[in-house]
Amino acid sequence: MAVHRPDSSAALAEAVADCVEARRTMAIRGAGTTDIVIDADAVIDLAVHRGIVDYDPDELVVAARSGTPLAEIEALLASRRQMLAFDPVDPRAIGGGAPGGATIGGVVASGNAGPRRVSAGAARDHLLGFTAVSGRGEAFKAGGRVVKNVTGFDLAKLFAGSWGTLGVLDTVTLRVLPAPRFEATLIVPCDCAEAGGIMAAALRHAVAVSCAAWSDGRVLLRIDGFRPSVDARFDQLAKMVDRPGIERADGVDSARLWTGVRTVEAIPATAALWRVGLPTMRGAAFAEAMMGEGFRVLIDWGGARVWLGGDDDGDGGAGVVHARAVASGGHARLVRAAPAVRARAAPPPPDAATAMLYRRLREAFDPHGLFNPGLDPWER
Amino acid sequence: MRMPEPDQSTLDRRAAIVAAMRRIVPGEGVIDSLDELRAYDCDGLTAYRQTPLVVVLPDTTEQVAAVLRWCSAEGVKVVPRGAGTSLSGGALPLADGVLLGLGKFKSILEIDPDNRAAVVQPGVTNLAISEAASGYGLYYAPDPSSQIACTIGGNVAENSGGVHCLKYGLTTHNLLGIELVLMSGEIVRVGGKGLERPGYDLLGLITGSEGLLGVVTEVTVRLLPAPEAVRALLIAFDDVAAAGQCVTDVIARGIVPAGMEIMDRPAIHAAEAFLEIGYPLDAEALLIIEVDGPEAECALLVDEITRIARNCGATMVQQSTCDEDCERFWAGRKAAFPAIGRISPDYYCVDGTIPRRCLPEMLRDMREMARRHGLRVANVFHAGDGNLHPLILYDANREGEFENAEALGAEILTRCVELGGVLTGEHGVGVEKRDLMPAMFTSVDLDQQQRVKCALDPALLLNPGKMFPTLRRCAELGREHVHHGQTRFPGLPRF
Repeated sequence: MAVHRPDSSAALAEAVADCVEARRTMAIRGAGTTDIVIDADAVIDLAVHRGIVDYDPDELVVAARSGTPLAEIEALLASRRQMLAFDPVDPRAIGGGAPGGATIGGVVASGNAGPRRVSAGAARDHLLGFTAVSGRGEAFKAGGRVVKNVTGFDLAKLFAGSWGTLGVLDTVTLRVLPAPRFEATLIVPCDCAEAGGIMAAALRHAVAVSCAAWSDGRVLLRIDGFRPSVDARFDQLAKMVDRPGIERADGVDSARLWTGVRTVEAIPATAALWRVGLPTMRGAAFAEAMMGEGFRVLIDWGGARVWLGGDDDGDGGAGVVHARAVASGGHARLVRAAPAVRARAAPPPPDAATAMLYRRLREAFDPHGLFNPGLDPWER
Repeated sequence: MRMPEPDQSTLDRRAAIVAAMRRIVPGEGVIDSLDELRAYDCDGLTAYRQTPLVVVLPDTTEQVAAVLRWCSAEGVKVVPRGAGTSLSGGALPLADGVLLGLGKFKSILEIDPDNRAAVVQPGVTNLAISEAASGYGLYYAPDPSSQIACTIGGNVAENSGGVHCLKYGLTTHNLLGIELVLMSGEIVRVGGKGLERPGYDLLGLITGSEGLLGVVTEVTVRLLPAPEAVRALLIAFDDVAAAGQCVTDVIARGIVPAGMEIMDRPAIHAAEAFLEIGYPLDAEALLIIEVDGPEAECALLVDEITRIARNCGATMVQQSTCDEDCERFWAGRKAAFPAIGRISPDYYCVDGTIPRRCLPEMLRDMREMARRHGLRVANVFHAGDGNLHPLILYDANREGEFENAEALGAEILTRCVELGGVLTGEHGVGVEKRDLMPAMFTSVDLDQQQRVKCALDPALLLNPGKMFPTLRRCAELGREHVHHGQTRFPGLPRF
């Protein structure tokens, strides 16, 4: 299998165009932090297509080549007390592993988002523009480098979460935001059944909770911003929640708790890992039912995301996960599992009209079906 | 402005088309008398007018689907319309097209406080959502200045903004789901009351697609807790660059205000002459900064911003102490358009975005351009996110002056793109900026966007003539591209 390692926009366009001309299928690879295996004629490996091409803290914008490590961007932003507000996570760090050098292209293409998504949005909400090479071998751009932009179709939304099936990202331009100067977390002991109501009440309140999660018998509610504001809001929140046993974690202790949520520490690394998107108020009841089925659970986004850990054999619990997710109005996807488990874990397909749209959109960018063959964003 | 040539065979079939529409939408829902059709001649961009072939006002999703299915089968064009407040001609009718009005979709179906969501029909006004949610302490964040009249369906189509985008985003950041009818008549539901949607982000694609990809028949929006307090500051500078620097310094301090607005000298004078609110007439720039959130936070931020403003050389800083102050600070800005309307027979509102720091340079260039065109320009500016609204003053009764104003607008927008900005920040491309698209995109970029159009509407029947400067048939866009001017691997079979 031919491996292309472009190190410039021109080399990337050339490599893809060559494959397109020869009708060679391509596996698009960043740092390889997921367990995706693609059977293709060639690999477009973006690991050396790296570098920040523009960081403008005053304009709240950063642009980087797609192979740039997430960690490099986050370190640069942190040096100016800024952040990617969608709170991305290196997939290798999930379950307590060492970060695997996740690339910004991979982060965008996988629609990555951490606990802060409930208040700040996902990668799709922060991708202002991009350049890419299509399945016709053509380099093109979409969007821009400003937030307020309605010029043409919003192709950035399509590319965020497209898993490399529409084009090969060349550079991405992302919005950045000031990092909060201080944070505190309210820890509320409660069982799963009560968690949904407590999180909903907090998220509805004007104290502006930025993250809300539950695992192992406690709800975590984060408040961040300037210190005096955090203190005043924390007291308001604590008064509203008003339950015995509540505790407060400040600063690094608070941040530590949210690293735990972001990396799904509540679920052992050996489990088959599922993430389930649900209507917010269905999350806690779904999680409770799944605990009854023997799964480990972590509720994030106030209930709109539930992580499940099941046995990493057989179908990984796919039968019950999909049945219960669909019954709750949700959709489950397998994040990490043994290949044999993954082969049996596909979610039920979308309805016919939606499936037709997905197929046509994919063909609009990749008419010959050359990018990441066999990979379906619906299943990821 | 050239629109697609009307199709004579469609014009000839008008009676049959009207009859077919009446079969689908009975009663008052089909309008075909010339007098009544005239009410739909234009939207908020009144310079362009066209009487539609027929107006259809369905009130169920099934009727919308049936209208689109019939038009699809018969090859009849369709232009969707909400409240008709578009400033870019997004709802400009076609002589040979059905105008599909969503005005009867007026119900707020559900306010769901625990999921922080509202499910509404597309004809509900933007403001009505916040009013319905207010009893629960919630509101819908995007607030385009036409929010009293514009509908959420139109907001979805145009990805509408407002003055609070820096902190709260545009429409696209505040939606959870839609029901969409494709040109084929198929009905697709996207998203719901959660945050994640599997598969390609159709919701994100449809938002801001200007009625070219589908017709939205239901919208689920995200609601936010209403802030406990809102405070504003009114800050004057004797130099526009200093006002721009103040905005930059506020952000550099880690503060994301709800809104930051700059008015230039002509806009200040027009507003003051109109309302007499006490704006300083010797100022070159007036900066309004609004912060919202918990009381404790607002008090802190107001003091911090005051300190930053003084460091930037502000000649005046007023802090609001009550809601009335807040309203007074904003009054002149919110009345900027009517205020300009008072000092000029007509005005043309331009909408581009630039990197914030280019503001002084842009204003300088704009003065020079305006002088060359012999026109006056007043500026209001969403400074937080770089969205510029130059108001070009002109007199439509003078021969050629509208064309002159339009030419100046095009020059300003082209300059926005040169400075690293974009052609439209919130008003949309529509017909107004359609022919400027090549200033920002190459033909390859535009072809790729058009292929997305082809994926959803292969016969190009939905709102054609908008957004794209050249209409290219989908079959033409599917042709093989030639690499490096020659086909490599010539031995490979081509299909």
